[in-house]
Amino acid sequence: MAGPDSIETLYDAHAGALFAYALNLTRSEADARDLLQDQFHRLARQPMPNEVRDARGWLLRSIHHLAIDRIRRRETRERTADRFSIEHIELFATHADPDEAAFRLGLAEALGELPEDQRSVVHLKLWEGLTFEAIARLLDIPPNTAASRYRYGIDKLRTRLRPLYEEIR
Amino acid sequence: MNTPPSRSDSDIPDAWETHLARIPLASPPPDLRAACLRADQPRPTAPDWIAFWKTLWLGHPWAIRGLAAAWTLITALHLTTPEISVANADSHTVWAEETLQLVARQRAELMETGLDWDRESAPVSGESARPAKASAPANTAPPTAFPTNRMS
Repeated sequence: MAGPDSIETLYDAHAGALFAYALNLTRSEADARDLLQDQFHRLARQPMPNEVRDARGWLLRSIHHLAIDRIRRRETRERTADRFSIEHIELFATHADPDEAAFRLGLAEALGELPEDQRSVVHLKLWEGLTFEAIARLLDIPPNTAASRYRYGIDKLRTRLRPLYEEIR
Repeated sequence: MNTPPSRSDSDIPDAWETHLARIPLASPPPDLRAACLRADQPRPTAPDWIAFWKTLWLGHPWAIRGLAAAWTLITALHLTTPEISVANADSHTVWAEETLQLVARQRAELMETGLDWDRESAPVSGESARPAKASAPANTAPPTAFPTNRMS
């Protein structure tokens, strides 16, 4: 039977968030899959420390570092940092309404155009609901830096997606 | 470019942010769960030798017979081969040096025999093709230790 800290339980509780975060950071479904598998393989070898109170935060932090390592290696290998910003990824759930579907597709693309540090903060703030304090701890940055990165990122998204947003309002 | 106003956690998100935050994220592919949870299988901490030999004994008796035959052969060779003790190692070294000296002596004798043959086959008179060689004293030692293909 799966215990509260078993990998099965952790997967069911957090895999969706971890996968989406890895996907948004790496902009590659193959990389996101690899990272999630790598994360759970590591957990099988070395379980989460008992003193961890926020499992989601601990896992997000872990996969963030894995994703950054992956991005750096890929940049070194390919020297085409802009290429993965235009890769089409299914970051959001599909929607039957074509306007809403187009907006979600545009949002996924616009997120890819953000710098990586702004993208991670926007993702953690909007879809993980973390405070700037928590984001700062997770990313090892000052809270003010997290807040300003979020503001820059959200304003860029607003400017970029305004026409699409006006259509669905 | 205008610097955006600072934000804090107490700020109320506007309609734009609220709309974005409500968009659900895509779920991970269904097959990914099985791939990730395969890592949940307990890894053997040490090889289970009893189970291994049991499987081998029951499933592959020919392998056991082969191993037993190989082991018997190795043991027999080990028991029948005379061991060279450390005390006798020096005498074996001397023997090797003696052998080398014998080979060198035989080689020198062979070279000498070859030179004698050259002398005997040299022209007796009236031929000036190889006067220097014919008149040269017999050389008991080869000019070089190893013959070469160089044309002289």
